[in-house]
Amino acid sequence: MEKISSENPSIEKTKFIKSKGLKDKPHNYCPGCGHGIVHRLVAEVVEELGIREKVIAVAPVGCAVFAYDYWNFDVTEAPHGRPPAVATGIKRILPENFVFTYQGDGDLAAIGAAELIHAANRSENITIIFVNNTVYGMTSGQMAPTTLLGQKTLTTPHGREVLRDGYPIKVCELISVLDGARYVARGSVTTPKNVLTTKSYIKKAFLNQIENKGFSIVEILSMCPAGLDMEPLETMEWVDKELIKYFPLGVVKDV
Amino acid sequence: MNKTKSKNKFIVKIETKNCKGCRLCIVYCQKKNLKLSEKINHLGYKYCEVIDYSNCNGCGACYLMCPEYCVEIYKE
Ligand SMILES: Cc1ncc(C[n+]2csc(CCOP(=O)(O)OP(=O)(O)O)c2C)c(N)n1
Ligand code: SF4
Ligand code: SF4
Repeated sequence: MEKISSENPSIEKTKFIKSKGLKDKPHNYCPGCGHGIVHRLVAEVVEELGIREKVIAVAPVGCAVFAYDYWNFDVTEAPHGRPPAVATGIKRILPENFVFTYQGDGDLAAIGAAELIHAANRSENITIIFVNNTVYGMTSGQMAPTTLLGQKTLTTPHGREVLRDGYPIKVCELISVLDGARYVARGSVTTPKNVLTTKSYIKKAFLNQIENKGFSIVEILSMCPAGLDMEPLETMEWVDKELIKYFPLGVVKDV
Repeated sequence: MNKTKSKNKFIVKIETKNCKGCRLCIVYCQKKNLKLSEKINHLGYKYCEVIDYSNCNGCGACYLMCPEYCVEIYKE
């Protein structure tokens, strides 16, 4: 999207064209998957801030593992859950570069919870883009730490139960109590309005790193129709109606 | 209203070969100007089609929702 400010999407100036931050190659996500929308938002923000030559993204293990095929800037890969640790190393060695991680809920909140918490606690000057679709999409829809209570998944066929599986983790609220966390926000990609708001969160989080303010994270509630075993529109409605009830949208912390 | 003032025209283009028929664009089109095709594309999906090219108000909802970057809107 060019020549449009996210705060004021004035029709007069609107010209919606594919961002140069995205490669021409089509991606392999399932129909209705939110990853494509989030990739586009990140690419647009990178272009708008003019930092494409400086960006080093760290991709996760999960459906976004091939992000280097989709973004038109440098992307490296980390072992499962370790993007915040890899990003820490890159940013410390190359402080002039712009470093962000892109992670799913399985990657970030399960196997990578320790790396996330300590990177936030050290207030590493990196940005985390966290796509919460409540399941392990790539491995076909197992329960994730963010799966809702009662939600049916491949590994909770009768619904998630507190006694057996614990509570869904509110990552933003958890991270926000750490003094090192500077900007924490949660958006979604379920409506055009939410998409624009989420883009403004991503932009703010990126600006925080450019201004050397320290650790920022943007959680994005997203759709995984394949993992949730629903039609794309049904998934979008479910995220919009059910998920947002438990994971409220908005800026959680901005210091 | 000044009738001599020319109204902005918007042209919406859909790259149908990349469309996966998810319909996220269709439900948010303010003018109800998008629909799924009868035919399927080479990916095997029914794809999104524009009903009336002159009926786009340029709101960008379809562009914002499409996960496949199929939609582009130009101002005439
Ligand atoms: C060390 C290790 N453990 C387990 C796996 C298997 N694995 C691959 S992707 C994945 C979960 C991905 O889920 P999520 O992070 O939510 O991303 P999504 O696919 O939903 O985008 C797992 C457990 C792995 N590749 N490596
Ligand atoms: S499995 Fe889920 S997260 Fe992965 S590409 Fe498909 S819809 Fe997207
Ligand atoms: S949102 Fe994109 S992929 Fe989905 S039906 Fe519309 S044009 Fe096709």
